[in-house]
Amino acid sequence: MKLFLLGIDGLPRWMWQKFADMGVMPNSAQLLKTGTLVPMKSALPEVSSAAWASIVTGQNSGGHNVFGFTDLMDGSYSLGFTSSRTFRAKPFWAEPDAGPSLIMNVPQTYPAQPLNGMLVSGFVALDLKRAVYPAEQLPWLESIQYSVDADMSLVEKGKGRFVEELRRVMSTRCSALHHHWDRESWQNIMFVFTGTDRLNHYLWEDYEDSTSSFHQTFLDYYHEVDAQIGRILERLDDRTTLAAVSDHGFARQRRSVNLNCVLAEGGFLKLKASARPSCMDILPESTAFAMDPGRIYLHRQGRYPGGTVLADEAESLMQAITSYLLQVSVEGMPISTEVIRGAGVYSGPFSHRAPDLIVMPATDVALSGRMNLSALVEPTLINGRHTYEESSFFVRGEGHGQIPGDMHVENVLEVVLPQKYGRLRRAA
Amino acid sequence: MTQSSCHNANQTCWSCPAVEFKGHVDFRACGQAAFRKAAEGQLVVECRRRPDIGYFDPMSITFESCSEWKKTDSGYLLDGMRVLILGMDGYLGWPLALKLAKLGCRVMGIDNLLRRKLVAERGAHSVTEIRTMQERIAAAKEHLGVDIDFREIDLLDRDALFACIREFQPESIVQFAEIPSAPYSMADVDRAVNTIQNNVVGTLGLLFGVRDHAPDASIIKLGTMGEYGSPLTGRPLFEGLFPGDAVLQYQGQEWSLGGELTPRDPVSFYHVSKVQGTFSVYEACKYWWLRSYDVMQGVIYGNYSEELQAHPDLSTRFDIDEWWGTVVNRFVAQAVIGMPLTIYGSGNQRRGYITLRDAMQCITRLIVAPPEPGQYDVVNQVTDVFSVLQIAQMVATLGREFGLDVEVQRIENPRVEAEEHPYEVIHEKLGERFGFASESGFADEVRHLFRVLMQPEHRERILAQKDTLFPKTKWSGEHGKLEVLETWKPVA
Repeated sequence: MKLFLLGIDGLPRWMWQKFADMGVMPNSAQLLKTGTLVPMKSALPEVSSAAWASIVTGQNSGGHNVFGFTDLMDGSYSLGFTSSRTFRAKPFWAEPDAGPSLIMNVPQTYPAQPLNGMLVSGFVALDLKRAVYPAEQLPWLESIQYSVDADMSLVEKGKGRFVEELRRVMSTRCSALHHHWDRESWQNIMFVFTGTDRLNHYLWEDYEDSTSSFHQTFLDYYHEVDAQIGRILERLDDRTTLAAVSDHGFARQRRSVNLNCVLAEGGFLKLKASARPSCMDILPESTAFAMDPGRIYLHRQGRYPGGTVLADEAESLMQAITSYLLQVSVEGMPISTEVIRGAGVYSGPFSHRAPDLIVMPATDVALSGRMNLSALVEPTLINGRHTYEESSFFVRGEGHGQIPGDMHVENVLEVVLPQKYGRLRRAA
Repeated sequence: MTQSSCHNANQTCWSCPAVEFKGHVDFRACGQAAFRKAAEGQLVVECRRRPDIGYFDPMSITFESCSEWKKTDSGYLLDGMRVLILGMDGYLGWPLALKLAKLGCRVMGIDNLLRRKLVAERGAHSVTEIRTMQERIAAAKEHLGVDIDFREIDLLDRDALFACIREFQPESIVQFAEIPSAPYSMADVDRAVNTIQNNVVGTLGLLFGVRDHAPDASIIKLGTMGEYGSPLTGRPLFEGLFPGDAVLQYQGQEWSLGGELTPRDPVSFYHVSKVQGTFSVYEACKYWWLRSYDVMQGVIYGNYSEELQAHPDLSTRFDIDEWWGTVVNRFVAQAVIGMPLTIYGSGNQRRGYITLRDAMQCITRLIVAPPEPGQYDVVNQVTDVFSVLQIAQMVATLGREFGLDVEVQRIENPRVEAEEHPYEVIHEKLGERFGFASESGFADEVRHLFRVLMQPEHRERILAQKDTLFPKTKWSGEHGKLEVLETWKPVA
């Protein structure tokens, strides 16, 4: 069986079903009747980079080393950005027996690494030249003005202009998909719509408000995504397993709370005065700090150059931080529903790099971890946020594995490629 | 983080020319990128020298903690930093090339050798004999063990200039390639136009070349204290930009002037060209995110540096004539040959001064501490403020130590300038932010000059151009000999 793995970034399971039922996504309505759609849980925390890494490797962050978009370089306060170079587990297409694969717009694959097949990286991809493997495919992509990402700063010029850009980028990406699909008989194709996530971040308020002038714009974009799904479905045959996944759910965001401000107010974080605050400014008396979106790291001795928290102090400190975060409120509202211990979440060779605590945001709250402490509630045009619950998993075809009752992003491969990943998981 | 004595230890990769801007991302919305430097969000960069560390936040790595920056006496230095010196054949360009090469920089220079031609055209010559550039480079290799590259290129030949920038990929560019003479620029229309053409058009072209071929290079552009003039109100000469608390009061209202360029009041067409250069660089930083330090240099003098002393074949040029010499250098030369030191007008004109050696230290410290992208900043590069009368008095006094009986002479002022004026120079940044500490005072530098110029071969070379020392160029455009007003011997 061949595999077509379709990604629809940030599409909640419930919304996909709803849009299918109400006619916004008619091709999806037909599709969903032919297989099984279940809710799926995202990575912890519910960040796209970690979730997509889990989807394509079958491991959690402790196995693939992607805990967020950022991470501190070991033994330092230098803030690095996760990329394919820090991604330490093999995606399914890189396995020796994977067969030729066409991989397009999958997040966390930049810069493009060699594979049997072709890959065009997804976000965060900063330069098309290094987002394409093999390089000889670059000129054609350049000729159709393929964009590695939409220019999100256009949202400042208005939502209409922004959605127009999303449409342009999606249209070009889909053209590229079909062009390269035609070139070869691929064993695996993975293609991700990412404009959906961007739309949800900036127009979620318009989706919820049916009187908004951009409400229909939101629906129209999903209709267009559905049309592209229809084009894909037309080309699939019975010898191909089709799976469609999203990496997290979505919900309304009304305030973006800087967790580092909260920690500073609680006396856990102290920064040196700086015009451009960064992790380098963390003072030794700090006991904890946060990184996007809700990761908290104890300022442990031995892990960080100025770290002072001893191993036998960690437990009581985590209890204190947990209690504090569960009772603290911002603008009269709680910021967290649960604080999870990292040690119980991750498995694999990179678990030691995991956050100590993961803060689950309360309703309407998004959490950030910036070191600029000037604003507890940060001004932003973003009005939609990720959720851990209710990402989408759909599968149809013969020969796929059993869907776990409590489906997580790291279970995707064992369902869609059961011969390989089901066996490995059982062996583990 | 450990504290360090180096002035640039805590500068971050955002200032480093080896870092390439990749985009802005907002991780609150999945890290989507905006590719303009003016956008908002988390900065993402990549290091051209250390691609192994991947993409990172440039604010989170300092020079002190980066393996590519090595500690030197002049601060942390980007290992083998590529520095392009425009005007390397000049009085400042050559000693800077030697100093930087010795420090560990990879130095390339360009020059069209115009200064040599213009000095000869005046019937003058450098008091210290200077070698051809090929001989200088060979001498640098032999006596200092350093390699310096040179290309004979006219700054106005933009094709050649851009090709050079493209090929060398400088990480710092020092713009010394300007015609540096006020009286030359006032002599006649051809020379005024030549000054404006070379300086203004040359610098403007350079900026486009940097934008297109080396946008992360820092530009160290040489200005002059003369750009400010000498305001009769006594307003302090701030370092190019008004301080944050400067306020303009007018008709009962107040406006902040903080960060705005301070007024310029040039005193010759040469100074006009420098002011135009200032605005060109300022605008380029604003439009294209280039980065620059604009150095408002005081009147420079002396010919000492450790590297220059290594061998006579390494000498930099030393001009003393009316057009190309500066006042202290000319006074010492006049004293050596028994010619009265010529003071224009009252002699109460006050100016900022700095020795060649100190100026080289300042420029080096600026090169190793690059501005951030888009940053334009100004330093006033002076160590002392003297009146011309004071200088004459001090040179005369020091001359006596060498057995010289020195006369001073006041002549009709050929320039249009205030002769009585307040003069308060603010010069704090180089010391406070760049760790500059003067290594040479007026008296020691002048004594060194006396020792050099009193050598018979140098004395002969002064006498051979004696007629070029007395000024002839009048700002008014009039011709005729300037009247001697007064001659005296300063008392000890």
